[in-house]
Amino acid sequence: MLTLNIITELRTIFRNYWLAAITLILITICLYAGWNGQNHVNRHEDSIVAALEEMQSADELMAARLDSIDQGLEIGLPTWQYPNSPTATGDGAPRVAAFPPGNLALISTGQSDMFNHYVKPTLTGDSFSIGFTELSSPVSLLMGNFDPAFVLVYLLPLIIISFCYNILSSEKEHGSLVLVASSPLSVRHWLLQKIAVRFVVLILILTICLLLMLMMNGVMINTDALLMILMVWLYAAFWFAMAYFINLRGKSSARNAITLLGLWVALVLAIPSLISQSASTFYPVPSRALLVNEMRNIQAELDKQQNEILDDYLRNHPELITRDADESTAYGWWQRFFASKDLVSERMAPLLANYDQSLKKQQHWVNQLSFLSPAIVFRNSLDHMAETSTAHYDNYRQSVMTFADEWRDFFLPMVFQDKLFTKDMIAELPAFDMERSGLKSPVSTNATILLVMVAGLMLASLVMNRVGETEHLMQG
Amino acid sequence: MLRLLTKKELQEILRSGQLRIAGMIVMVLTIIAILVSASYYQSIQQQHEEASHNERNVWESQDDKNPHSAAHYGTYAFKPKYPLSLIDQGVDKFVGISIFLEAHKRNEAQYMAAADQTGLARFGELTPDFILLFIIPLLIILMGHDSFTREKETGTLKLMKSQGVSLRLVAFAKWLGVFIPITVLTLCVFLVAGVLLGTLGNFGELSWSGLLIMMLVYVGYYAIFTCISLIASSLSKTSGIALVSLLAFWIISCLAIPKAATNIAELEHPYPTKQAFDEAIALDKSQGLDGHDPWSKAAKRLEEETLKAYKVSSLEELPFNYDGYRMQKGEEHEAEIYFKHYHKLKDVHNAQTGIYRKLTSLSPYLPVRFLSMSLAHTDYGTHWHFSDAAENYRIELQKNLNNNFADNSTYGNWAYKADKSLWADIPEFSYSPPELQDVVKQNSLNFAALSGWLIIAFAGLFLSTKRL
Repeated sequence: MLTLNIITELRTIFRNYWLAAITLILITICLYAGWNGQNHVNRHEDSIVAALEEMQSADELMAARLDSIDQGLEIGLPTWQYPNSPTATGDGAPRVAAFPPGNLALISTGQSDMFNHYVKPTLTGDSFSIGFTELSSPVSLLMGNFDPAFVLVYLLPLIIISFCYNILSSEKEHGSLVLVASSPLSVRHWLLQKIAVRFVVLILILTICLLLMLMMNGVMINTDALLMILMVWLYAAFWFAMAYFINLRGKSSARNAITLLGLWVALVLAIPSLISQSASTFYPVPSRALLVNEMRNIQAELDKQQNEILDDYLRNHPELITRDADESTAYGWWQRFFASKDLVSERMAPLLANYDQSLKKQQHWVNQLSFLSPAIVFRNSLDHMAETSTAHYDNYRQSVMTFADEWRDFFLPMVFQDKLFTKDMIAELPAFDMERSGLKSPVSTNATILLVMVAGLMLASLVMNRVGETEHLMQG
Repeated sequence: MLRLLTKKELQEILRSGQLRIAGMIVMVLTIIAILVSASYYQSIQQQHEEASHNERNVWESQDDKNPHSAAHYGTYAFKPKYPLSLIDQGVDKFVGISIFLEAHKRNEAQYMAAADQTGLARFGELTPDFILLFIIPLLIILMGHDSFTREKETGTLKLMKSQGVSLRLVAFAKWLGVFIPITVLTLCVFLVAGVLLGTLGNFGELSWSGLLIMMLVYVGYYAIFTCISLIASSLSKTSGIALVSLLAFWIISCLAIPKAATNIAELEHPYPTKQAFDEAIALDKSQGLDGHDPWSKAAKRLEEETLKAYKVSSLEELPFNYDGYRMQKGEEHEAEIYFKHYHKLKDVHNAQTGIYRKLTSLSPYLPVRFLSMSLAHTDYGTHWHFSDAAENYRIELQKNLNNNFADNSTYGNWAYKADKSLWADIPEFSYSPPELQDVVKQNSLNFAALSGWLIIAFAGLFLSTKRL
């Protein structure tokens, strides 16, 4: 009976225009979304490559200039820009601290359109004031991208709904359910088999589409890629299980469609936006406008202290402190400059920590409530696997801050000990390395949540109207 | 007859338990969204006023100092909020809230709110515009999808035909049956928002005409969705098919096309990266006059030209402090560079806007989205307007300070300190957004697109009922 049912269902599916339509739709949107995602990734990659190439040529020029200075030749630069000055090199030859896109970056744009992918921390710049936001059009940020994550999170459930909303109801409406009911197989099992067949068929098509999309864009098919596909299966399984549950209620096709679409609106649109809104309402980030005030007050206070020791002109025109000037004054000035910067950073640290704390609390709140919507859980996993999540950019920011300190620590002894920067030191310049150990993968937890959701729905379907089920389904 | 038919349609809709629940949910969500937004904007506005006031205090409490030092010390311009932003938040959370105005440099607005939120915020937030743009059209679809299919399924359509009832009249009554409750709901939302905005103290002056135009835009948007729902219902065999096809239309026009438009715009007219943009400016600056570099070729040329113009042989003989003069000339040169690069950026923005405008023919959501944001002063155009106003203020500020330095000290006298009264004499930055008539004029193409959609939707309804 099982085999017969499966064969019949397969025949129904293959003879129906839905299969061809779904295959065509899935291939088109997956490939288009993948192409969009890859274009986005290419732009990021290209900008990093260009920055690294530029840094390399700048290093070569710096080496040549240092040689010329050693030989007592003119290099055509004002003396304060001489590369043998640690302050000039610390500011003028920064390293590219890049966050290259991951292997699966194309699947989800995540936060990658909002934050930049390389920065160049300098010696005199404040690490806390490094700008991490990209120069993007806010309209683009508002509208979002047509990337694979959009296809999978938003469109895939709709395709599943349109594929499954009327499996039982259409049989009832056509009068063929009576025949099924007269067979030895229970309607519940008959429906489960039909849904399972559709699930396998759709998953097969979807997997082929995804693999095709990944391979066409040169993505390496590794464990992460397979894990991503597994998450897609689980998310699809949730919507199939939901369709099974709703079909089992025995209502009309129109009623099923309304209920399933209502659930889609609630789970994919309303609940995520409600949770997001509640996160910013319950854990608001302190005012950035007032932070500006605090920063200015600290600056003004220190400025007044500095006035006692520093000359106005020298403070605002450090470039005029040349080797030709009185070196003890010049280096004394730099020392006080860095000392006052340390003081600003020290005073700003607790204020800035408030922002990180609020964001962490928001994230914690979101994580705690993510079980309310499979879309949140699934999107969170996609962003993580694509390395475009908030956590990834936060991690990048922290790594850059650490690197900025490292960069400063490299040059400061030279400033304080009045030493010159030499050609040999180019090779010793600190290189940026992104620390990833703090990134905890939420994928296994998310997969468990999705599994529990699927199991919960199947259990609910099992429990629902167990007694007198056929009569109930026949009557609706 | 029309009255009778409309009354019947309205009664059916109001008696439907499903629709009553859906309507109630939308009402509750709207009230929550308005209240949350009102409290959010009130606190933002308060913070903005406080920050602007404090910043001015910081600026005015500077001691006697060299004016160019004050120029480096700089000040901040904070972007104000406007009343209608309560209804449409637009791109506000994706643009910075303040611009640092300092010597030699045009800065971008800093601290976008979205950067201080979790990635979930990119799903959207429960704001009034989210409900007006996405949820109410869904409610219309829910109300209208089975208008004709129900009659087909129960066989009453044939009955009506046999009785010689004009199907156009029936269609119009059905249209009114969906449109009237939605218009009442929209009126309520705008009325509540209007009353709230009128009573909230620090929300600025509310433009009632702006609110009215915005409401009409949304009512037009809903008229389109009502027509499309009825067209789909008249063309479909079953309610299920009508619902699924309408949802496909909704997702394509409200989500897929805007997102695809972003990708097309970014592909055709990409924004430069922040670093590339800054580096291009730095390169241009390095090739021109730098006020701080008296040894560059450009500085030497300026020196020669100035000596020649004033017919003197040394800088000391000039009737002003040449250091201040050079600073100002450098500032003017740098302002030109910024103007050039920001102008290029604006060209990219305009080209991207052109892509969105072209696609308004495929989605009624796009013209409404842009119109609503513009009327609320939360669109990208207003942000550009603010950013340009802040830049003009910066240029004036630098001019004031450099001129004071040049006019009141002698060449080489960097020890000159202006009296602190100078800081208070410099006018405070104030900003007014574009006037309503300008906003309407700038959005004429969006109005045309919306009108086009209205005409096509009604024509479609007219033709589809003919086929019934």
